[in-house]
Amino acid sequence: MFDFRMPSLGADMEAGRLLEWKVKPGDRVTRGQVVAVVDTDKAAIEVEIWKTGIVREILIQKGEKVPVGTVLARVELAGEAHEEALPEETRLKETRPAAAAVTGPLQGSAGTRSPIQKVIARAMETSKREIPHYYLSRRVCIDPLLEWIGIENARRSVEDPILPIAPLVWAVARACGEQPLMNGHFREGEFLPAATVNPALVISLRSGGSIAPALLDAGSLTIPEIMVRIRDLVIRSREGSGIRSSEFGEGTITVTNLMDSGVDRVFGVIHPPQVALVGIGTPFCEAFEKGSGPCFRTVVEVSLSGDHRVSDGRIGARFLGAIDEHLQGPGKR
Amino acid sequence: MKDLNGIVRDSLHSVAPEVDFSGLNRERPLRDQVELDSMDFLNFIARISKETGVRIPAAALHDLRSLREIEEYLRGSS
Repeated sequence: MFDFRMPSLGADMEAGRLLEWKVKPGDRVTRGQVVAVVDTDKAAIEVEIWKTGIVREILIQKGEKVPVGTVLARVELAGEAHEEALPEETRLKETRPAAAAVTGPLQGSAGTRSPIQKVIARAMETSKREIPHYYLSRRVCIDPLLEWIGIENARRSVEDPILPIAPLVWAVARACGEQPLMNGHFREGEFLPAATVNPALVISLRSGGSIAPALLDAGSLTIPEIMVRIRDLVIRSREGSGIRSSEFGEGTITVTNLMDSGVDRVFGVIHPPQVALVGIGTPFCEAFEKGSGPCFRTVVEVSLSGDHRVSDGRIGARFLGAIDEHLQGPGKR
Repeated sequence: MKDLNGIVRDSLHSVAPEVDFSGLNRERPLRDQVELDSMDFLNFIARISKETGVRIPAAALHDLRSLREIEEYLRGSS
């Protein structure tokens, strides 16, 4: 018999409220299936089960708030169970909870701090207290990227266009694959590189604050696939529904995108237990010397906040260089 | 085709529920009046495309800035 427990969906989470059961006693569950929706301080999260079996008993009812680790249900296991991750496609097929069920915790009126903002405040305090940050920035020419997007978008409609953030996230994921010291977690004095690249994307919410769900296994995706997944994450985050537990806990590096905000450069705060954050500023046009006279190009400042316990300026510089290199030939690999 | 103004209003509300639609200036760029990032704006236009059945090329996104430009584009395509 397997005890399905209230998961920890972030280092700061102490308890969660059970919003909805997706299963009932007697139902067969398969690993990767969303079985419950849990309300944390941040958002409503769809919780997956990582075992296959039959639900025998539901112990916590809808509406109850219980500490992390509390047994929520008992599941009779079917044969051998493994805890390996499933391909994302399997997860995306699952249904999403009704948005109406989860609007409550996200609402924060002006002047009061919403629960999300408080959680972020705690994580950022921990980060600035414990992580010795270093910061680097590199101007990256994005003309090849824009040209490639122009060609792609000429045959695409507003249903499936490419926005510049997609190739940027793609390039970060590629660079992470080459530089393991940027991609992983620092826990109890030790850095553990992650096996896959799961960039957590900072998504601002209309109600205030932001959340950073992860785009799972971005290293294996093409730019158009990344675009579809980013769009899906943004929509689900802003609806306040449908973010999965695996997307919440498994970010391996953060990407914060301020391309629309008019800032030159981001000096980001690392999200513990991660060890790096890539910031993207707003593109601008600059003159540069080429041959006999000045030319113009579009550039963007790509910045890195790195954890000095794990990497250093030389490694960070190589990492930014790799991002730059990938952006000079988007879509080629 | 359904009421265009209503489709545009509902589509905008799907990404920015708090907006007072009747208070918007139809000539000025929408993104100067409502806080929409590029993803919100894309989802707004995509919703209009879906509701009206009008295929909008991705390249047209840059030309659809104000409510007037959006409605003129839809009228021209219907």
